[in-house]
Amino acid sequence: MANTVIGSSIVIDGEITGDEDLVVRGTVKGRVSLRENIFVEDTGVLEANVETATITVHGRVTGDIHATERAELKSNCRVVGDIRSPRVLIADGASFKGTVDMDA
Amino acid sequence: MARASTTPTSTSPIEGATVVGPGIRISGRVTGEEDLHVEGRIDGAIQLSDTLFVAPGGIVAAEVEAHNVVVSGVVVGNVTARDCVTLHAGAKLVGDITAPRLVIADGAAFKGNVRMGGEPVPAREKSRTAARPRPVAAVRAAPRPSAPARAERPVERAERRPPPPRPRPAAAPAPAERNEDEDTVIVRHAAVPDDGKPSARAGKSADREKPEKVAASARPRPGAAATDKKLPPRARIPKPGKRRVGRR
Repeated sequence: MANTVIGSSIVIDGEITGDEDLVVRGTVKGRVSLRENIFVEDTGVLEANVETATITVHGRVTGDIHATERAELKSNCRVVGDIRSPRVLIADGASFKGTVDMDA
Repeated sequence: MARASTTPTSTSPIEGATVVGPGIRISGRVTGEEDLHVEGRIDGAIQLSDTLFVAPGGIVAAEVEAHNVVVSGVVVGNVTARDCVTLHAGAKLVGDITAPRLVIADGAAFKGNVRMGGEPVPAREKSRTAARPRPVAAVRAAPRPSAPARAERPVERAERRPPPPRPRPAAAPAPAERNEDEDTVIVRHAAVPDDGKPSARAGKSADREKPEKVAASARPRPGAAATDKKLPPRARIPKPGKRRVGRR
């Protein structure tokens, strides 16, 4: 299945839903609801509430994250918002502001 | 140039380009300065300074602005391209196309207007469309005077009623005899709820009410007995008229 890629110059203001992987190199504002994996790359900016299975952040995320499986914050990423996920991984060098709830 | 831009459609999107996969749906506004391949669905608006590709199976329900638009899937919405719009076989496009160049291949479906070049055309069409509602407004305005006209009708009917009273004295006794038979049934029903406890007063008031009802019933009976059958409808007609006036 072809990955969905949001290019670095692309700005999406609205809602993204679906059931396949999403790679964000550009900007997405609004809401993202997926059943698969989200990759926010170095240039990627997510200003949205996120619902997904897993999310891997190299870039910036502003908004609440609800990952049913795993949320992974890589080094040099910046995340502002609450994370709700059974597995939360925060790498050395990652910037995070918010609360973590691992009960879900 | 157009051929160069159209050729990439058949090939799968290059890695690194923006792709909306078949399982993805975006509702909102998409803007950017690179190619966008749509294999899934986008609702809303798209603004690109490069080329929008709508792959087979891709659905775009949006206002589209791009440098080039290449459609093999479905587009519903107005499409504006600064260079070229290409509809390949199997493409479906419903909406207006504004572009200096338009290519429609055999097997493509398209419904809408095409504007190639002149921009003053849309302005004229807007003026035409703006002129259309005016008669509609006139039509809407027309019934308003008719509404007061309807309001005047009951007045006219009321004015028409007084002439009938002349036959009243002559007609009143005759219906009174009839009403004794008819009203014995009708008045008892009416008198009991009106006056309540005293039954004797009910009878007196019933007698008083008789002439009123008789008069009311006599109004539509100015003419001979032959017109009686036609008259009840007259008595019924003004009632809805009064109601209409009261409602408005």
